[in-house]
Amino acid sequence: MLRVGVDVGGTNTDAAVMDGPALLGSCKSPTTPDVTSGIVAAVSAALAAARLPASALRAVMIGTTHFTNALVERQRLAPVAVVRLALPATTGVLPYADWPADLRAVMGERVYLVGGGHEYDGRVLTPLDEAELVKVAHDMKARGLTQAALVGVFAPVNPAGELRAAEILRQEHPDVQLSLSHRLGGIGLLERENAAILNAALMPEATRVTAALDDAMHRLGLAVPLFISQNDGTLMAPRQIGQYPVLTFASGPTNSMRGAAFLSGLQDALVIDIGGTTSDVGVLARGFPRQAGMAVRMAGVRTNFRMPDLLAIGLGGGSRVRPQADGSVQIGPDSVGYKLTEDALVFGGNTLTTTDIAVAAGMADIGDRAKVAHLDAGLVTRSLQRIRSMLEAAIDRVKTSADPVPVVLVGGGVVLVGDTLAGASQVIRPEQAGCANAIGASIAQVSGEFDSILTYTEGGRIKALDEARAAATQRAVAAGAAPASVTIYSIEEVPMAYLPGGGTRVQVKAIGDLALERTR
Amino acid sequence: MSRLINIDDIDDIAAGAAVLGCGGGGDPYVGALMTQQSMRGGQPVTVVSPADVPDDALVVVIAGIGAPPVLIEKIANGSESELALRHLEKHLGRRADYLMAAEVGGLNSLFPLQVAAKTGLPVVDADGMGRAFPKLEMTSFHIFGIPVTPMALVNERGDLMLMQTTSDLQAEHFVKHMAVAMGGIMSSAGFSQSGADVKRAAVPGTLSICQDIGRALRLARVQRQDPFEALLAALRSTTYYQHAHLIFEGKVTDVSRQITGRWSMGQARIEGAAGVLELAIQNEHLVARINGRTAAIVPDLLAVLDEDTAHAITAESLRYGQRVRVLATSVPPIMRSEAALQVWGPAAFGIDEPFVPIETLVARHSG
Repeated sequence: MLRVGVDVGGTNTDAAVMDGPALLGSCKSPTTPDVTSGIVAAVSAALAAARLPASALRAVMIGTTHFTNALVERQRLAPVAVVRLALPATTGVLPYADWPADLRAVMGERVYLVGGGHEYDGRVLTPLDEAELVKVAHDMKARGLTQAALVGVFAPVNPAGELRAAEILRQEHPDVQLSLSHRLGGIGLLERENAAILNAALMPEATRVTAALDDAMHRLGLAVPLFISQNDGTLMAPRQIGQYPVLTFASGPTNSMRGAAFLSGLQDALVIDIGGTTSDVGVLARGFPRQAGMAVRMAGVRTNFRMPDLLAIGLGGGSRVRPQADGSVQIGPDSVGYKLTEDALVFGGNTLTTTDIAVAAGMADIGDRAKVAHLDAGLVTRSLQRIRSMLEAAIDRVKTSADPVPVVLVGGGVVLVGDTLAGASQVIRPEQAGCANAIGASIAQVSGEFDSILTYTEGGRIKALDEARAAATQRAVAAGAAPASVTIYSIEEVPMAYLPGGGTRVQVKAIGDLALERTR
Repeated sequence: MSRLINIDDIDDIAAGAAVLGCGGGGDPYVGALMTQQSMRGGQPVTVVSPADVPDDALVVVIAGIGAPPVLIEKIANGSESELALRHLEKHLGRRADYLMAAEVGGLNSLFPLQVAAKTGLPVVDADGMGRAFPKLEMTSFHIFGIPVTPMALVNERGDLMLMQTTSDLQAEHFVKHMAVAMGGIMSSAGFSQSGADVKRAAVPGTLSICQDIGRALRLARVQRQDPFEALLAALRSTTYYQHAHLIFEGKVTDVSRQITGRWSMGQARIEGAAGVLELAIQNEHLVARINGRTAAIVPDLLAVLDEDTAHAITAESLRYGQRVRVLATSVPPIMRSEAALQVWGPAAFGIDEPFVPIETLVARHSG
């Protein structure tokens, strides 16, 4: 199937035209403020490289760091009201606790606590206070608030309260945009609430981005399905990006790792994505990035997003190189970043960067080699040694066994690395390593998850797990997977400590291939 | 001697409580946020040494009972513990003069502080174990004959129960069912005792040590020093935890869990340059075996620490791939007595081997 994968990064927009497993053409082009022009330029150039008309494409897959950047920069965020369905519980920790003060100010801190919520076994904690919700809707309207995070206690176990509350708010305040917490995460009220708040804050921008993507498709003359990458390496329909922009967080590194798996043909390996400023080191397990086990902070906010477990080190193609008085060399952590083509020596600039070292060593042919001919050979050697030891230390930290593992190098900075690394059984440098992220977007599958607390009755565990598997599978199909292709990727059971018969938290993830026929 | 605990101290106490929790007792994070919120609307907390508590004072122990994973979702409303305290006071016909923690490990280090911030009552710098344990009778109070009951139990709805049992084992038997019936988690006030009892039965100074451990970790981070060195230094400066050793370093390669009766049983496997460490877990970490040889065993303290920050990882959050170091330390002498070992020694957890102090094990293996 002919398709194009696009990765919209902070600096570059990459596009890769793929036919099944074959890369037909790719292109890197600058990201533009309107997003659209950058995508159009990259896709057009990639199509030209593949000598194909736009009409040959059957699908477009887009990965973007746009929303992550908006949050980090505190830009393009709308104020959010939190509607917590929880009384009389949870007031011991109010919403927005443990948020960075500047971000809290942007959000406006409007909080409504309402009777509602469920117990861990799904029973009603408190009947939903519908009259109060009507008042909430009117108060939001009066204050001109349109964004709300709707968060019910144990909503992942029983979403009925959130769903009913959403109905009421929408009926009383038709302009309201709601972010329902049970769609965004599992057990852990504060982390899920935080995710719902961030999501609600990004929804207006998501609407603009959806429009920009539609516009790009229109300008490219494409009338095929469009998909967006999520942080777990699977796709969502474009309709959903307007609803769940936070699910795109960290999709960039995930796509790189998925692309690395694809390009190397390896399902289990260590991947190093060397960018301009940092390198991300992570582990591929059965073709997917291993996910972080602990709560993840996004721009200072604690969330329970499914994020790849990455070690970032301050080494990239634009990292500054500083010889030290004692003869050693310091590399990074600062970088000239996107100004590489102005500041690096090989481009006529005045800053010694890792790229200059690679060119001087004859490992790369970038810019003007003559401009680094004067560099001391000893300095070049010591710099390369330093780069190598930084990467080897990172490999050692991330590896999960003492045995050497295959290492796949991707990203623009792969030229910095030689052919061997300690701890690596082999170093694989795929030909198209520079656009692994766009390729990763193009090969993504779709997933469904189940995360809830189940109470196993006598001998009922097998049946309960079967039902959990079925629910995850059904959600994958609903997200666009071909039913026959869906497999269970992971099952995790964590019993509830200190509680007899108090149930077990069960998380199941199902993954399947995109069923394009269904959505076309 | 008394001193004040301020809102800025709470994160330190939470970090220290995570280490002393030995993987159990619940992640102190939510407890810390609750306490900070109560302090913002209340007052700093006065902490008093047991020696300065008058013999005839009434001291009440405040603790959460139930499943910590329920609390991270159905967070308390912050009034439960105070309600339990008032109910118990009514029953005793006397107001409490001091509050105290049952366990400084995990979430329960913070609940007495949260109530103290709301009521203005001082907190005794002591607890009943200097770590975390899963059962009501596993406290030094029980060992010295101070009964669990009368105990008041309250949930977030305000449902109140007053429990009076014929033995502490009966109390444990009842609360496990009550925790389910009350919605998974409840706040308790019990173990009421006199100042004289505290001096005889409590483990003194543990709240301060808990705070010192957290402070050492924070300062190491701020000053960019090795957090493990800082942690060991903090522990070794105490009499209780002076035999502190990092017994293993490696990556978590397997975690399995199952529920057996009421307990979350599990095993974790950590692989490193020195071989394999196997960790047996029953809510808390019980025993660590390195290449099949016992390297530390309950009631000595066993904590799994994040390789970067030296912060403790709860048993519930142990995951494949985490890079960790394993810490083992001695515990207060009161915890290693013959009577104490009958309550929380290896046999109490069904482990068929004798308790051997960490310092003996370390000397034996290095000798």
